[in-house]
Amino acid sequence: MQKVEVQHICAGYNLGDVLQDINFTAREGEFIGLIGPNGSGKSTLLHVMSKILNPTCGTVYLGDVEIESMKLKEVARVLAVIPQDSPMTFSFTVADIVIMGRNPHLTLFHSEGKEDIEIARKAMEATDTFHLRNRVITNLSGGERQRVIIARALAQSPKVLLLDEPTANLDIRHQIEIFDLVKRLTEEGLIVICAIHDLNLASLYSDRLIVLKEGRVLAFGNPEEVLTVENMREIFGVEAILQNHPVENSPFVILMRS
Amino acid sequence: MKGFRLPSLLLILLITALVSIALGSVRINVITIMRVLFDTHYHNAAQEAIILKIRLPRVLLAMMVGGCLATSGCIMQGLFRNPMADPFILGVSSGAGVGAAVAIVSGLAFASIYFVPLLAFFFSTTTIFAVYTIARTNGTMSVETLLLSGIAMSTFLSAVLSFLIYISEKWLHSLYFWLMGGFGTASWTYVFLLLPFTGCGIMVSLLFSRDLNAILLGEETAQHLGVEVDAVKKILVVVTSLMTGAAVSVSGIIGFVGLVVPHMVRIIVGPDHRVLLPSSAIFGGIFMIWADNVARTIISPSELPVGVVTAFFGAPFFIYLLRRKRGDMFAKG
Repeated sequence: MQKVEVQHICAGYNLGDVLQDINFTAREGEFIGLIGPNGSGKSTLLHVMSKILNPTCGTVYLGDVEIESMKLKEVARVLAVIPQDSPMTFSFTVADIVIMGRNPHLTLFHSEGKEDIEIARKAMEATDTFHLRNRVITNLSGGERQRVIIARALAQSPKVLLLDEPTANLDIRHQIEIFDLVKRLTEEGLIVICAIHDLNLASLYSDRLIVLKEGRVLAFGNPEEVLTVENMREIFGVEAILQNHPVENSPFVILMRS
Repeated sequence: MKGFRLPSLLLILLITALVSIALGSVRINVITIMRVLFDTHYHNAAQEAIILKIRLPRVLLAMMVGGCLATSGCIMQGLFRNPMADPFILGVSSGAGVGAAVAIVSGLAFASIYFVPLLAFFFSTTTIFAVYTIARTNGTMSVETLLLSGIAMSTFLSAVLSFLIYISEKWLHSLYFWLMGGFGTASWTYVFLLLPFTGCGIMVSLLFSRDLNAILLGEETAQHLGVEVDAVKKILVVVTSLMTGAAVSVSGIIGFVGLVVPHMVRIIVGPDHRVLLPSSAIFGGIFMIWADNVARTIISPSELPVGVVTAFFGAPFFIYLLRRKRGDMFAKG
């Protein structure tokens, strides 16, 4: 898929619009970080882009197709979502969960065939979860479980991956592990849009950053352009020093006590 | 697992049915039963009357009622992502109870035996329709609201039912017996009335078993996996209501089966609805036939309400399974 385009999106829940006129385009193979304070509309934007929430105005294009004209199943064939945490109360095995990623590619009367099983196996190998395949999901650690959820998303054979703070509940090693994995996927052309709280992780992995505040795009550009002392003050209301990452040369945010 | 368990469960169901026809105040051996059923040259009026007119329809009815209740319970537990859900959670049973009570107290029940199932079915489906309408806001329906409006409606109807029981006086026994559930009134008419609901209900449920699996992961995740959650919810609520309503109207309110059978089966075959649903349907049938066997033979020539038996034997068996499961998990480390 060449691009994902968000045009003039307004959307919200019962109490009026949270998002106001959002515009941006994500290109093939791009990792876009979505940053902004709590309640700025990051999750709402991801909901609109995955057709969970209908916008009150504007359109999302997946490739050249308007998302409104697509069924949920058609959306799920090209776009996968990885939530912050997936509560699991029923004792499915890892393989059960991953193969569910093939659901959008199956019809009512067909169950998954050899090809689907092969795709699920590759998804598990890519996320290093194949050895866990017969384990029960409720018995896994947070990091393992999130890798399984990513495997399920990959089993959808998506062109676009939306992530909503995928590492919020994980320790730093697992955070790096998950982001390395997702970054590798962009090299194969996947478009990744990822809400991230940790600015330094956002800076380290994103090709471009979108800054949301109060439902508007405040800044959109590469990390050097977006992560500035002024923006830190304006967006988050914090004082910070910006330096360059000694190895990656990306901006590095050092927070000050207030 | 899928290939092995279902046929073996079906075999157990068949054996259960045959043995159950043999059981009763007049013992008939299995070979005689087979001859009466399948040998066109064999004639024995007394045996034919007992087998074809009394025991066979009763066994078939118990089997279908058990299947309907277990399937509905399984679906409800999936939809609500709550293992404590059962087929009566949205008020089907209270609705049916009021319907039956109206039929009995008004005397209609004594005009024709079909008024009780007719009114029970009518009231139970109306109840679900009301619950559903209350729970719907702006075209969508959260399971929490559905659950709460079901509870509210059940409570209201229970009050109505209590009132009807209070004024029923001389009909108290027959009303009470109906409420506790049983197959004493089983007939071929009931079998044929229930058959389409059981058949279609289970078929439609099976079509949505993969979607139910996805819904277990959360409604939002299910949508991300391409499941039209609202549509699936609507269809399944309607299907389970019709199945449960039909089952209750020909057998009364038999508790526990719809709650516990899906649990028992889940412990054995796991949470995948593609295996869980058909296994629950079959095991529900087996369980109900045995419960009825006990109900009709234990204090013969009188009968116990089958609901008493399902709870009395089901609960300890359930506790045993829970304990055994815990032991196994420990052993595997």
